Amino acid sequence: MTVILVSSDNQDFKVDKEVAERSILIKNMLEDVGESDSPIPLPNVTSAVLTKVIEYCEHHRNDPVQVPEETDDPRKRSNDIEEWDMKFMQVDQEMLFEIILAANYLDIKPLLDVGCKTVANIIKGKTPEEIRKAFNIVNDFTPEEEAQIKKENEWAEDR
Amino acid sequence: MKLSDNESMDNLPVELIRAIAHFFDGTTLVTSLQVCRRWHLILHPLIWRLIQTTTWHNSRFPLREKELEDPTKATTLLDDPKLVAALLHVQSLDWRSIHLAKDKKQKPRRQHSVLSLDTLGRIVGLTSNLVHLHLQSRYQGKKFESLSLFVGYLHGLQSLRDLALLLSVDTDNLVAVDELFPVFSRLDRLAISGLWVSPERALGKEEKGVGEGHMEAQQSWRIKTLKVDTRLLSLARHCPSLVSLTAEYDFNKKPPTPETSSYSLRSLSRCQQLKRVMLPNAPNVGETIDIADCLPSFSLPKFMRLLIPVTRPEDIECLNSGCRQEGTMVMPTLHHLHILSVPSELENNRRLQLAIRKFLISRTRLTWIYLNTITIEPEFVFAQPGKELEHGWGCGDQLHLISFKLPSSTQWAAR
Repeated sequence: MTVILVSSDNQDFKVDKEVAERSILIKNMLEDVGESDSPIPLPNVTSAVLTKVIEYCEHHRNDPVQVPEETDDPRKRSNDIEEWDMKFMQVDQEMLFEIILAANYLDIKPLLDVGCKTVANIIKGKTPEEIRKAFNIVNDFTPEEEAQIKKENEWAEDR
Repeated sequence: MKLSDNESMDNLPVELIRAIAHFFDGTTLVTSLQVCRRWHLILHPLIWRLIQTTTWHNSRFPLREKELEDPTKATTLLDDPKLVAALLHVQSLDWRSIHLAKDKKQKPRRQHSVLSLDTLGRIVGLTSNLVHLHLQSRYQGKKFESLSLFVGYLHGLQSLRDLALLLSVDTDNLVAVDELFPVFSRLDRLAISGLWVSPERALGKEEKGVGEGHMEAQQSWRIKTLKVDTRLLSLARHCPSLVSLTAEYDFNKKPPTPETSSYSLRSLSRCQQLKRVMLPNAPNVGETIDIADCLPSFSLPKFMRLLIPVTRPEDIECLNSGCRQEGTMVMPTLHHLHILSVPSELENNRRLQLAIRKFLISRTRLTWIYLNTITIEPEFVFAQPGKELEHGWGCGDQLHLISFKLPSSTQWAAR
């Protein structure tokens, strides 16, 4: 069975139901309307981004559904990205953020996690100035404030 | 939702910046705080989310244990509005008075420190959004007037889900356990040592049977994991969702008293979800742990992990046959079996070995078997009649580990 997804720029995407249901948002929508051929509009996702998202869902169509972990460890690791996912995420920064936004909107937790890990890995090891440069952020701290913040929070560094 | 023309992380919504930061290590998080005011605002709560045992010894942590030990200094510190605001972000707080610290040569060594329960209580009172709280300490030779004050701080923690109070407090004014019931009713996990809590008052009420006391006994909490002193085992009657139970005499390893060493598993009769029971201590001589009879029959088909002491062959025999329904196997899905505390007179006891053999043959899901306190004659226990040892017995290919004592060489030779 297939469903039709419509991107914000009005392009139709015909995908297997199983693939589309990797998105919890779409899965819930399909369950709500029941058997229906009507296309599903996704006004927050452009065709370029939707192409990428569908590619991801196709590749992971047979993955087991993620169970929320019982462990309470709030620290997560970012160095456990699969090789295919790593290559999949080698896109320009704008696309990377668009994928994260789309994964969040469509509720595809594994894709959101991979996206967040990728950004975390970009940030890791950089100085504050390098981070600003990488993400186009204006520094609104005085040097004194910046030093003060570092001093106040240093204790959390070796966690 | 679409990013504006100057694509930038600045345009990501707050919750996504936090989601990314969950994958940061400590250093990256602190660096990110210095990027801009917006990031600082968004990420600063994450710094304070987690206070671990080692954090208190970090010389750069504003709430250093050393400073807090001085009551005047502690008061000054805990009045600092900036710190008070930061403490609202703490979700997980862990403090143990004895822990392994690493010195410069990176060798672990034991460190002792005692933060007064008063100070600890004040900190707990300020971290009012706590989800996990773990306090472990022994207060010997120190009297505390303010134990009920400490309990009062606990009552303020509305988000608390996971509580471990492994305290041993030298006090004459024990806290009645039912004073803590409102706190327990919010929890998923509870671990509590009994030496500062008195089970008496609650039990007293129950003996009345009807009226107020009866209502009290019917309270239902959502607790799934319970670790208690044996004298507080009756708490289990309030936990119909219980999955995992551990009951020991005393987590601070004091020698058992008659009061702590005799216990009954009757309070487990409401726990229909129970899958793991760990009872590391033997009951009084002559008492049997009739676990198959005490557990509700609903829970037995899904049972996974069992750790019990054995004092008589009957303790195992009841698992073979002691079920209310004749012909049904007790715990067919058991994964882990750990038998301990076998008294020396049961060495080489044929009846016990027979009971173990009968038990093992029919549990095909077993993956871990620890029988290291029992002497086992392998060909008797593991072999089926008329078959070779290695294909003898029912265990499937799932078995990972099996551990038992062999008969001594003289006994071996004598046969």
